[in-house]
Amino acid sequence: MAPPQDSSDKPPKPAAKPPATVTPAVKRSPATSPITPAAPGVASPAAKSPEPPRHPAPNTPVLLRRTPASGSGSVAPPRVPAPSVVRPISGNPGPPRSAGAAPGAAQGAQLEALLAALEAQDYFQILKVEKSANPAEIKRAFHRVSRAYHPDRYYQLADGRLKERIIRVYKRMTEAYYVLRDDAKRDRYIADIEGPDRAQKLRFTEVAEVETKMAVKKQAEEQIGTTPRGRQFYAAGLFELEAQRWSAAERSLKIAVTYEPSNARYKEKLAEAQRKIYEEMKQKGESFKIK
Amino acid sequence: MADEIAIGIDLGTSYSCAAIVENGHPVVIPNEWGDLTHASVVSFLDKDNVLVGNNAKKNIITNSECTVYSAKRLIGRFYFSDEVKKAQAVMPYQIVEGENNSVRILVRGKKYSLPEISALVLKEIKEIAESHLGRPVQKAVVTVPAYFNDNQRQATKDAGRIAGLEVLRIINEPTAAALAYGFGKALNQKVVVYDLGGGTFDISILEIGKEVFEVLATAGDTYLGGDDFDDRIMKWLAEDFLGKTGLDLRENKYCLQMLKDAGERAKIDVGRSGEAEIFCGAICQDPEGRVMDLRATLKEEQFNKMVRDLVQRTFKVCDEALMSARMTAADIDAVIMVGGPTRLPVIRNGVRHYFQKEPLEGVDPDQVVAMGAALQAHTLLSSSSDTFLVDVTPLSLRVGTVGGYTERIIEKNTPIPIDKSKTFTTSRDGQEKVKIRVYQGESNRADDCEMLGEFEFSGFRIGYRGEARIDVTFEINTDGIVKVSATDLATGKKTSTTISLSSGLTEADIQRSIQANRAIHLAGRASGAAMPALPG
Repeated sequence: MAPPQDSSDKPPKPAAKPPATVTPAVKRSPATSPITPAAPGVASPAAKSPEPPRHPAPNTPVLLRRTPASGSGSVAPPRVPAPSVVRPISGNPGPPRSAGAAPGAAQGAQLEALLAALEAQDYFQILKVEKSANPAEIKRAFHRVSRAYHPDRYYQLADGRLKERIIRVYKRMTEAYYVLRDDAKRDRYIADIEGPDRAQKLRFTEVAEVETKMAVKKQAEEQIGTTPRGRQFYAAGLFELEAQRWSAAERSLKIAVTYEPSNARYKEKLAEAQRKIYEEMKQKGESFKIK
Repeated sequence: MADEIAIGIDLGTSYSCAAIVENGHPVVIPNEWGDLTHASVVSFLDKDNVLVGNNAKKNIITNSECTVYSAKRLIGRFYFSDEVKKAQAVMPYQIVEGENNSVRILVRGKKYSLPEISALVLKEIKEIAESHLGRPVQKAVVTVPAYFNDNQRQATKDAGRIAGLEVLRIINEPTAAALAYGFGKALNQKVVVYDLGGGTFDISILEIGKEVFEVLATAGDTYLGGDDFDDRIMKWLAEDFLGKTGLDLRENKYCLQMLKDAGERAKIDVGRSGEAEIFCGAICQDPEGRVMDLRATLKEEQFNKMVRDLVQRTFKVCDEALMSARMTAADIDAVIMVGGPTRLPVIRNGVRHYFQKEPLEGVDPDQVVAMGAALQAHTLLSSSSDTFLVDVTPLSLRVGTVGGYTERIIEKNTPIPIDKSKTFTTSRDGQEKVKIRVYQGESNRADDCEMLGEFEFSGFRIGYRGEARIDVTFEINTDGIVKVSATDLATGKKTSTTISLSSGLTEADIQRSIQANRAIHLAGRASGAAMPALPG
């Protein structure tokens, strides 16, 4: 066996000797080495230390005393991949992917015909349900088509091309189910296919997350105003409200409302300013002047 | 053809189990000693001999540097991931970096990929099944945690191939458990599968009908398992010892293994009898050479307190799954418990309280997954079966976009198989190629998602930025494995790839590994290196 090296991180026989410890000795004299092989008869600096082990026990590692406070090593942060270089553009799902019709078994041709037909069908037609169908009916319809087209049914099929076609058919069915079982998605889809772009919108296009965020932002913006002048006077009004100059606030907000008569937020703030004016007058006990 | 057989394998973090359908019923396959579960531990004895299973587990202490366990925690992960860092700190075996940021295990001067390690566990299982059944076994359904990402699934499938198995299907563990519970019972129920394994936690909500098993939602935490419960006990023991003696047992990997062993046993004892006596004789020597013992008593109350936050974390995940399925705990008809740690009273009480329902009795948490996998294997081989599964993808799939953002293509909990596309464009004038990076996760920041892989797409017409229209299509197959393709909408040019980056195994690597796997002899197995050809 190779002589043990106390400074080594990897002793050759792990069970017999402990690896080097990580923290410096706190209570030990600097003369002794940081670790002590436990196996008897193995020469090491520790064996020559003033106090030799009284009960040498094989397979028992020796540990150093240390203060409980000393910490362990820190972990480096994970490497992060560099940003990538494509960005989404909105909408259009692209042309239908009808592959060239392949000659083959009658079944193959049949499936190919079905696939072509699915391209021109909306999800309701694919699952054979009414547009008014409720989620339970949609689920039942999906289970019905699954019984016929689930790929597990055709696992044993030797014809790879045929199998691949079945999976393509089934994928369209899961897609239909995924969209129609969700109330919000279904409503949007119905609007899509009843609109003028029906042919392009047979496959549901998810709203881009970026667009969803934009929509939220836009909504927030709309609450503040849609015209630049309206926004300007609204902002001025808010500033005056903040400063408790109620009459000035009322003036600004009144102008803002003339720019955007239907903006509920403007009207709300205007009412607030007018209420404040009324309260202030009541407190002062002034009678209303007739203008 | 008619008497083809296929087994179901639950390849677990700590233990694995195999089952087969006999006369329409799934039965667990025992080894020669009657063990029904086999430790997922591989101990390298020398160049050509390995010991796998419960006997190998004993070597974790005595042959620690050459004994690999909990490989499932590392499979399909990048070298720079947190999980790998954590493992490096506590595992006695050496974890090194391989090509393309992959993880390798260095044993006796030789590097093994994680699929190669798992393949040795699968090889042992395969041989156990072969000697029990008396015939070769070539096909299997292998289970993975529902929350496994694409890389982890892919790597598990590779492991099966390396072990000489045709992996008929990768299915999710909770789904398999539900299958074992509801198969052939013509139920009409909504069930929850609460699956707390050695290293992962999964929850799936399923609707079981007459013929259909439909997963409504799944959620999970791949960093939470029974091992974390052991860790809490270890930490307590080590700190107690440190306080009493000033010696930190965690500094030494040998002591750490003794602690881990003690922690695991204490957890089981506490769960079984409400109290654990912990004793580790001669765990270390102090600097003066005195031999030290470790002694402690762990009471159930104390243990429950230690792990309370871990148990709470599982219910956060349950909330998430219920929300995804648009349900409340009251809608659930039955709760199936899977995984060894679910035997703990602290878990059972928590589940009872959360779902207001008694967890199902008579389901063996260690075997139910393998039984479900066997049923699925049987279904795939027989065309007569009427049962079918509708599973979902556990994580959203995304494409990286400029500025470190990602765009979601497929939402989590979408039923599979499915394909979906989105159109992307270039971000610079005259750009010749785009890098398509694929992520899995729930954040629109790339940093917070797991990158699965990337590929370059070129050959589209070069123009101003925003002119090119590149269609990126994601396809998830019935194994839950992702295929990505890019098409230039102007020319129809197409590139596709099955993304597999972190296993770092090319087809050639796999072929080499298959050869290497055949050459390795499983010590302690009667059948020898290769399965003897049976007559007939």
